[in-house]
Amino acid sequence: MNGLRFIAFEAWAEIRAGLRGPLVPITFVTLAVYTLLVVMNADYMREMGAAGMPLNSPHVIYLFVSGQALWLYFAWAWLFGQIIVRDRTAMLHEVVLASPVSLRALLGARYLGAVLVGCLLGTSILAGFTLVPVLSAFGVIRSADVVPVPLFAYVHGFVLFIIPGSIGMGALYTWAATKTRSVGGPFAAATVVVVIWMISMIALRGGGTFVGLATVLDPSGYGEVETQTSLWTPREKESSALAMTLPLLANRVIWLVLPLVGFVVSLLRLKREQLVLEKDPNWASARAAGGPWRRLAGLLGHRPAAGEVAGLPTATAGEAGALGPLVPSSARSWLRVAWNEAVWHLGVSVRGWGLLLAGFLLMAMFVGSSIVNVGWHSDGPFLPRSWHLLPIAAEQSYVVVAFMIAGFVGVMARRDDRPGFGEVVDATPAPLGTRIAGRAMAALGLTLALTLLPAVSAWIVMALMVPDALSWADPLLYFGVVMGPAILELCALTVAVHALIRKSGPAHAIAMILVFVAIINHELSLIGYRSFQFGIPVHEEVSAASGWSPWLAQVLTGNALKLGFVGIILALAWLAWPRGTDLHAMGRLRTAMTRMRTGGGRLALASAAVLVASGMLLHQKVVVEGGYQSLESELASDAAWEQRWWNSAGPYSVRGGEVAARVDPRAQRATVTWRIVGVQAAGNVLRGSLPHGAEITGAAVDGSPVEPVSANDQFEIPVAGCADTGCEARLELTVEAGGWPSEGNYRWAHASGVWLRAEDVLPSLGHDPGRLLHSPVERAAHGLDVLPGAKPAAALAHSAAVAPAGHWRWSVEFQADGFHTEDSGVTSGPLDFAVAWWPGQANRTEAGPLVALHAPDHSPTAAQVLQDLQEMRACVSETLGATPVVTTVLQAPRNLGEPAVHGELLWLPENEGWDVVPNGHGHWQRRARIARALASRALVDQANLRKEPGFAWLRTGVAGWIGLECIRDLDGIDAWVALQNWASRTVDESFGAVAEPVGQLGSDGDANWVEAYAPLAMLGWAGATGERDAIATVSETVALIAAGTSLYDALAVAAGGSASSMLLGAPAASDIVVERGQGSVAVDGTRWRWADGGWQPVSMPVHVVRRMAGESGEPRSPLGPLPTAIETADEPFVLIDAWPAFDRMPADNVWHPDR
Amino acid sequence: MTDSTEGLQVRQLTKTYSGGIRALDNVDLDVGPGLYGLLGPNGAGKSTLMRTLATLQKPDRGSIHLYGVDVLGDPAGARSMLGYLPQQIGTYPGVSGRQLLDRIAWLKGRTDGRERRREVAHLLDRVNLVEDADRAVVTYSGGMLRRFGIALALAGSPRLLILDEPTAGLDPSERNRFHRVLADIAANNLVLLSTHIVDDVESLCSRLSILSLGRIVAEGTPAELKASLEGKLWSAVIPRGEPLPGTCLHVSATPIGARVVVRSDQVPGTGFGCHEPTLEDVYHGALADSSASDSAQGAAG
Repeated sequence: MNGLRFIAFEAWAEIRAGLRGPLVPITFVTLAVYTLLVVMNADYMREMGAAGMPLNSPHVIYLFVSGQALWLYFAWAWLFGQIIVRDRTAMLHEVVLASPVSLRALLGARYLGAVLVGCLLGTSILAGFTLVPVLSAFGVIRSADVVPVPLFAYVHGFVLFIIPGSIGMGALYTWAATKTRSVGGPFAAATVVVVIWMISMIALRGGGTFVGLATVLDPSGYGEVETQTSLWTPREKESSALAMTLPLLANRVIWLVLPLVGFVVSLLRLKREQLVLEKDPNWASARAAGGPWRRLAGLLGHRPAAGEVAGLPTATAGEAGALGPLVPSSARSWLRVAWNEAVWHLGVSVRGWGLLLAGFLLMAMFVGSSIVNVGWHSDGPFLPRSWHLLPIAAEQSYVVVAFMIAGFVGVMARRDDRPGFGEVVDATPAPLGTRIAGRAMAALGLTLALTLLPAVSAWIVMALMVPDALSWADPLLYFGVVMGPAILELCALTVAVHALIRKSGPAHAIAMILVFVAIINHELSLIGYRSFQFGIPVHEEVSAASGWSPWLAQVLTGNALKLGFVGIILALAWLAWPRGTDLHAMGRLRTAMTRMRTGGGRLALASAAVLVASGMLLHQKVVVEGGYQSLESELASDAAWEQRWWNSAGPYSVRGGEVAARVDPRAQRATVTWRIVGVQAAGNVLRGSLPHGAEITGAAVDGSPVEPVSANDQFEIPVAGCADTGCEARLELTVEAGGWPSEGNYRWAHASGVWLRAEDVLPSLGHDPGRLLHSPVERAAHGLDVLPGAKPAAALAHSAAVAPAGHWRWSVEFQADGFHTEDSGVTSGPLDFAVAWWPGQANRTEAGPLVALHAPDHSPTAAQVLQDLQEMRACVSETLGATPVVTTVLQAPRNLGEPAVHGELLWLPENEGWDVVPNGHGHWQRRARIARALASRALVDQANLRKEPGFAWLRTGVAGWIGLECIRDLDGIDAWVALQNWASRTVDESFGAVAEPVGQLGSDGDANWVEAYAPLAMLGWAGATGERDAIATVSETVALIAAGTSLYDALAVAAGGSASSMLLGAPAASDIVVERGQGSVAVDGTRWRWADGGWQPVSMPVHVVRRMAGESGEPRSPLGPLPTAIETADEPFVLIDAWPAFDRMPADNVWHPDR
Repeated sequence: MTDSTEGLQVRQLTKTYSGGIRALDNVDLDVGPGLYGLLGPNGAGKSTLMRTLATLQKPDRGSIHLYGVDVLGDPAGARSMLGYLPQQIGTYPGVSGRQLLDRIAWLKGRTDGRERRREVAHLLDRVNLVEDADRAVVTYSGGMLRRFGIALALAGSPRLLILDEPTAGLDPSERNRFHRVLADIAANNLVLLSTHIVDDVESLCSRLSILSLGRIVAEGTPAELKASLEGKLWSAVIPRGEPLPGTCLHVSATPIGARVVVRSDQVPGTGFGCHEPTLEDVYHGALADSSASDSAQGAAG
């Protein structure tokens, strides 16, 4: 047989062997089903920015094909390991290696065959997508949700990711298999690859500092796919192809060529005896003699006795010499056996270099990534205080720890799977339960050790960067209590998989698949209800402000549920654990039924009881009392609200009134009396929306009791006879803040403190158009017709308060355990206030008349915040001619709202700049947000702005633009451009992730894209108009709105119809590019406007304006049309497109004489 | 037949695998103290019987009693009394012989640390592995692994030792050494030795059974079994190229041709001389009788 024929035959044999095993069917069935489940999950598609889009659009396919790599790495490890392992398993390796064939041809041919099977495995996701149109044909999926099979994306994804992956990773794994002569090498290599993936995706990309390097290093290419597709418009997502950028090309070449070259070189140097011999005796002896731990102890001057390590046995010559005849055991303690087993398995696991090396690598990686993600973050730099660092460290470590657990626990579960040895163990009298308990304890111990590794890295990072704020307890608690039980679930799952599945390869593969699914769920919330999200840490938002106490009960109950799951899964493992040699399915089932009467059954029952009890408590606290709703329920609720209430919306007005609230922090309850005077309402009905947990206990109009009606979190009371002079309405409410919060649903009161805004305890008068469903798909799904027309502004809720402007008095009393304090205020503007009750823990920092209330270790930051506030107040005042009075800055808990001015209090949540280093991007961001909050309050109060069409332009767009201008004035042009860049990136990403069709700025309420886009569009328009004129236009608009003109009309009057249409119309984008020339600057630019789901080029002359530091706000002469050349200057300048749009890359608009 | 509270009694043990293969067919066995041999060709059901006795699989029917303990009804109780050495012991990575033996000792209930260490040291000494006790098991030679396997089986002081093909693949010196270890052990224990190497049984066992197609086809002491063929065996060397007689009990190769043994009440032909029965002759005779009986039953059926 000639060489080529031999290679063809051997490759074909490898293909057949690969196809014959269980891996291919398992992969295809599992991943195809998984793909279908995922794409049919509405929440997931929203997360991917694909709401209302075809389920099999190219961008989804690109993401899946590259994203499946995490799972494929391990499947490929098994597949390519078989090239070496298959012969050894069959004891045929010596026969094969003694045959007269070229070793290189043999392994090369097998490698080729495995590459083809590897490519086939990679198509399993595509197979899932191919089923989408098939299911559509059967009516399972709506045909509107499906496009014809996007063949180009299939082929492109296959060629770009699967083929290079199979070739490159296959080469790496085959090389590893030749070194270890087992699948251990390929799996170890796969783990290293995942660690590199983690470093690139989280440490480098997450910090935003080394994005290019991250793209090059990322073995999967997913990061680049995510980056590109996140910027695609909906139309592009349906039709675009991935661009072959230089970093992506470098990435593909590196992960294809380097492993291949390494494999070829190793193949050329490989000798047959390396594959025939058992492990090097010296190496093996060294391992058995104690490995690194013992060597380490030796280096430290201590020579442990044999077996001292990890509880392994020792014996002395004296004992051996004094032996008598063997006697039966004097006494037995099976508990001790279980303990010995646990120590044994743990000891064997930690004795090798593998785990030790992995531990050190992980530690280094976590420390490095924490420093990059916190200390060097492009949005920071941040200070790694506990509650900024720990959630980031947890996110970084989760994936890699999860996969490591699946790998190491799998190996541990299979440790006795040696020919004959398992039978010896099975024939021992030790009850199965002791062996399983021992192994489970070892697995859980190993899991906890790996889970706590990030805590150690957190200590290191804090000790290095914020030694004064170093906390020993917080990292330990966070990783032990928050993350630990979730990882234990994955550990138990791995144990159960290995108990259920007899063959090692499929068991490892399925364990990895399940961990992969858990990770995907972690990222995308396939299961919405957090408590049931398997393998995912319980919900918490512990912060420096709130401390642990508000979260402890919730965390512990969530963990009880998880431990219930762990117990049930381990019980399942116990019931299914193979013992003996007769292991056919029916026999195992009978055995399992028998074991139900033993410890396994009892463990299952006890765990089920814990699970049910904790599940019921969670349901009561999170769903019933906490008000958790799935996204689907929320949409249904909003649809019901629209059907019930929207058409009845009518104008109303009030003249003011008085709020008296009494808060019992211990009971987490507020009792509120709200007297509203001068009430006039169309239809003689006053309506409003109720905050969560609120119940109207009584209502009266002009002293006469009336019957309130409540439904869909909306209420109404009859106010007949008030039309002429207005009457006095009185509402009595109780507001329960009990229950446990879910994500995005923070409680305003708990035992350790109260952070309360008016909207938390008071109804918001009027109708909130934000509850209308905008997506045609979602409207149709909930039985709604076309989007109804806008209501008059006077019928709507206020844009930043619970009631429109009036003469308001408010007071809030806090009473608990003999403690009593009160806060109060008056306003002649809209009704909005905030108060805090923060006993014992709050520190006060004062700067003149300003006071900051903050957590104890934030004093230095508080002083900076107060300084920022003073400077931003001065800037806003100078810009607008007025600024709200602010006396207090409050550090609110993490993720509790946005920075805003409520009454005379600046509400600054912890994640908005309490942990930034001065003079960095994060610091500019904080200052800009403070300025925006001040400007927003001033504008909204002056205009008495309701949630009428276009309100976000004034509340967010103008205010945000003023914030940016303040940064330019006070921090310089570089800071200004940096913030523009950040905002521009956010805008691009928000357009890539729109959950509802993009319409117009004026009609899309406060959609995500509006918040990011509006300030930049305003900046472009103001740049052309001149800041002074722009402010004058804004002031005129505000005055007109306050006088009762609609925002659309007011802006049209003040700015002109054309400018108004552009400012409130469909979003626009531009890209101005500045290139240095000889004594001049070449400028070019392109414009787009959003239409039909994407950016459409606009063919009109493009003009720019030049902005320089320290210039006046006078109108500027536009330059252009582009392309053109303009003269250089002695100082830096920025060119801005002279129309209301956001620039897609502001960084390249800058000209600097020194650069 | 042994007393039901002494040794091992197997009654009507039957096991049929899912493919319809009857591995054990009404096996009856009485095993007393000492070494008991179980001979049989490949596929005779020896390993199935061994694994069933070791509580690793369940028979379809029948009973097993070990020193009065119902092995099938109380497998945990039986496991306390048995030590099992399967056909093959795979190497165990990362641990030394001492460590692995220690583990098996505690799994066999030797939970007192001092007692266990004494036993481990004793067993290592007994199988002559003291010098290599702290070497990794993966570095042991085949003979060392078999001796180590014996130590594993002996841990916990079992009363019944089940050894499945323990000498397969050993060189002569290792095999001899292994025999000495077994003989030593058999002085105090009941040892069931399954093998298809007749010499092992002949040199070690006081009693034996021959198993064929799941049935016991012969049982007794080696002397009794050999006596049954006394005067009925004839042998001759047939030169290469000449036809062999059609009724050979077994044939073995010689430098000039083949040595044939024939069972017959009379001299089967010229060149044949009287042949002193060996256990190998008994083994082949029993298998031939079993095969003939099956054929006759098949024809009658």
